[in-house]
Amino acid sequence: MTETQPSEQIPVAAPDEDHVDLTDFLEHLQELLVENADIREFLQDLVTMTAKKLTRNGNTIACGVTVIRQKKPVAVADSDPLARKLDDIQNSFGDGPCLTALRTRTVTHVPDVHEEMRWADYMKAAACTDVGSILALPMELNSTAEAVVNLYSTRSHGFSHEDIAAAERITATGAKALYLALKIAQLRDARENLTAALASRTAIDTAVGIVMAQNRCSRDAAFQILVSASSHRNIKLRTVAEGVISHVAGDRNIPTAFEE
Amino acid sequence: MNAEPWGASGHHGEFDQRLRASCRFQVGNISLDRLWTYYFGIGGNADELALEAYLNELLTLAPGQMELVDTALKELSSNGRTEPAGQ
Repeated sequence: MTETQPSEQIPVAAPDEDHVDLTDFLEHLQELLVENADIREFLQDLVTMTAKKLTRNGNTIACGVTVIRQKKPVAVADSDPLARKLDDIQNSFGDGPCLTALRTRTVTHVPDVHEEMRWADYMKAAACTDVGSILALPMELNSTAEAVVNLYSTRSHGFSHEDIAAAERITATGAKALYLALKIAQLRDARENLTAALASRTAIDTAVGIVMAQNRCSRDAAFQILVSASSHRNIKLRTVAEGVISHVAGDRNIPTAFEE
Repeated sequence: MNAEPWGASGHHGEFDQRLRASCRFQVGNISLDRLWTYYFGIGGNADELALEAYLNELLTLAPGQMELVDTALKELSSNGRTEPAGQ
């Protein structure tokens, strides 16, 4: 029954009092960013490192991350099959501690799965697995997307105050790197889409000019002819345009001079 | 210009066409950015703000532009379904 606010309510362990050294964690995240790894690869390394960092004294921690965009999970990564199974269960129910953490933007703690009263359906399904306790931490991604880190321990009461504080630090650090990775991916996509749009527009404009000359019609009318051809034959407008051009010039590749 | 029949949309009012585009956009899980870029790529001339206003039913576009928005929505959603590898 604990819904903990980040840091303030946790009496023990100010950031420098817990004993988790994050230097290698930071270095690895930085490397991933520099290598321009894709988001899935990035998340996979993030969960693996997070799980490793938090596993102590034989208390094995499994870690999963779910990234949500426009209310749908777009990327999921898990450190092991247990985390995968629990994340899948939760995403299929559309409810559970991790999704609650995401919605309320607060750290959500389930000290003992078998005694938890909230999320009855999810807990019933979770109790059939080896999980004993769950800790879910939302990530701050400056509205590029939303993400939550899900930590699963096979023990009940597997997360001490120190563990929770360490998990918060790791999550906050991971969130900054994930934010950058998402931002880079977003900008890369936008650039690729614009490049494709410029190339496509060149072909279509050329075809419009050809149709105007052949039919002695206005630009609007020429567009209309191409759009009708595209929708009646269920062929992409660009493909229709390329057909028109190759019919005249025998050339399907219309280069667009575009310096990035 | 509004009186001119434009292909398949000739039987519908422009408000119907706008409403359909708006609904299609909302259920399509496509970002405005992505839609505008694609629409620009197939020859669209309205800027992103005008497109957004159109999809929120605040503004009308020229009939030819509305056709292009429909085409962009159609081609983008069929991309998502049949060509995951980005053909």
